[in-house]
Amino acid sequence: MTERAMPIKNNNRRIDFKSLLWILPVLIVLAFLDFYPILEGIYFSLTDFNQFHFFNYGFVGFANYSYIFGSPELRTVIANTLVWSVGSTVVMVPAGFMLALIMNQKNLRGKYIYRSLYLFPWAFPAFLTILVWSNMLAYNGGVVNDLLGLVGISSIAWLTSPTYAMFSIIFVNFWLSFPYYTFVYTSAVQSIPNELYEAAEMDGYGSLRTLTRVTLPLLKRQVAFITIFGFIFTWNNFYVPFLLTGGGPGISTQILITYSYLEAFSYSNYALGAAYAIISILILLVFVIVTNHYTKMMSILY
Amino acid sequence: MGSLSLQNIGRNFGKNKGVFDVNFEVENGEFFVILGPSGCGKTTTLRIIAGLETADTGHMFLDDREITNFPPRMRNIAMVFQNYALYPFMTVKQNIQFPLKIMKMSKADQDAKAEEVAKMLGIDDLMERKPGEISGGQRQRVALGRALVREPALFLMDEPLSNLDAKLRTQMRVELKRLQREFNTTTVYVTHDQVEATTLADRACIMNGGRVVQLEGPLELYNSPADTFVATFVGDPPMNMIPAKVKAANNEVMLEVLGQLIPLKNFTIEEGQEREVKLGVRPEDTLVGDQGIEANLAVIQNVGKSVYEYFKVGDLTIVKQDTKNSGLVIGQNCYLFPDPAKLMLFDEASGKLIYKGGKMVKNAPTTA
Repeated sequence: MTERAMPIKNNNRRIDFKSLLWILPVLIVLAFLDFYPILEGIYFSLTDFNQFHFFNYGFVGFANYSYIFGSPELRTVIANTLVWSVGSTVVMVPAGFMLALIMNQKNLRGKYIYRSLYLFPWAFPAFLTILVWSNMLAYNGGVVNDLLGLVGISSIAWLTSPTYAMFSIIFVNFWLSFPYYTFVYTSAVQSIPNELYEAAEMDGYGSLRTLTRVTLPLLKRQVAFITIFGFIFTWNNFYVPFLLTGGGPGISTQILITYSYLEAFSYSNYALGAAYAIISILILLVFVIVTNHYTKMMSILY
Repeated sequence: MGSLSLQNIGRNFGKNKGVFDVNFEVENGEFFVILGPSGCGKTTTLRIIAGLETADTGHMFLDDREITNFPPRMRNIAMVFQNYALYPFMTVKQNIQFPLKIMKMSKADQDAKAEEVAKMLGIDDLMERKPGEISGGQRQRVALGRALVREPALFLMDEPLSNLDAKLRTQMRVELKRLQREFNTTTVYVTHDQVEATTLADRACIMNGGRVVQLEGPLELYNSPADTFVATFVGDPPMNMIPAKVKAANNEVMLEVLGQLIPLKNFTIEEGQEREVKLGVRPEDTLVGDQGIEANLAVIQNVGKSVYEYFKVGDLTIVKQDTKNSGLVIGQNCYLFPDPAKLMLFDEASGKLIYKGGKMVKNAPTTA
């Protein structure tokens, strides 16, 4: 039901300096938090700022970009990033949604206990959880392989083989993230008035049909918004791949954000790292503009 | 079409909340109203009939078929909700067709059906609009349409007019009655508005504290309320309630009220006995005369077709209603007395009606 308000035409084009004063604090904050770092990042990506030119770096134009676009790694890293983001999003967001639906069942007892329980893993420091998972997935002595051994399946190199490493980081990320999406969806699900469900119930709709005919259409925008933001957040989620596999083996789990970090802080090639980050941001920007055009998901923010 | 029967229906929410031992029968094609103040259990009763709430005790029959434990969708009952419960993302047409979509019915039949109902409700020109783009009264009609289109055995309405403004409410009341006649659907209607009850109902029951207090035709509720609760709830302004005493002395039965003695005919009481009662007088049965209870006029409300005058008698306020001004001015003293043929007496302890229309009520509690 959210309608976009008609913009009011302002015939008064004179700049009112008093009103500029009111937005000045916000402008200052934005300048420090947003504009300066972004512009600085863009500038770095156009220089040869690295370990050798730390004090005397200079403008090199698009040299870094042309190097990146010519490098064989870029395609792999972008493909990895897509697999990582899409793979995580398609499991964690629907899982969060389903859990939210289950947790909001009218007749469910002990709702509040479950709610606290499922927030617990999310509130727990992520690097500790990742450390635990790292041990559990270890080739030798990891719990997962030990359990598989019990049913006669030979050990799998969860984190050290290119085949399984991406699967493992997506799985751990799913485990870490879905409580958050449950939490976000809970508020969306609760915003639906109960009568709408009751009316459907009276009209003969079962729970599955109610979900597809009532709940999902009502939450269309919210689902789009949460899914797309889940995707963006995962795209930039550094923790899991960095701590679990460090991008390895080889570059099989390197995503743009970890690769940018690798270039900047492992090889001290700051300009190249910045260029990778800028590429990542540009891809996301195009993605958001395109998806918003189709889903109008941003309208829930107005 | 269907007839509904509720037998000993109860639902306990604890802390003395819920509904207890509700019994009533609704005949085929009847417009039945459940009337009561907020929290009296009327909506719970309706939701139990709908199947949205389960009864702890009792049995419920629709057309002689027990439906007590049926899920809502198996009951063939349609409901109109207070907030209409329309789907904002569907057009008016899609909303009306919503119950048909699940039935095995061809698209053409669905369209024809929706069109027919919409025509009857006068909303056929709004079919492609969304609920957000139509007025409250129109939304109300769409909600009615969605319920009517199914041709259910029973029609439930939960305060369907309470979200409309006063003028539209009066208009929709007439409309509802007409529609109900036209479709001849058995209807159970819940409201807290006694005007709706009296204008719409073939029969009405009043609930208080989760129990049915009285079940009768709407006019009987007004003319012979079962107890002080019904007496003060039905009627606006409410009936005047004045503490009084019936005294039998010197072979004469007198009603002593605020120091005045009024002779009472046909009141069964032993010589020399006294009985505490409540005197109930409707505002239109309150008269001004040369003698009676001394009162002081405090407020005059003239609403055109009638004049309400509020008198102060000690701590009590007594309302008098007439078609014209009594000629008194504010602050003036006068004498009030009840129309002897219309006054009602209620038992002090139980609140039950014991005396009305110049004689004792049948089966009235006799304990003094």
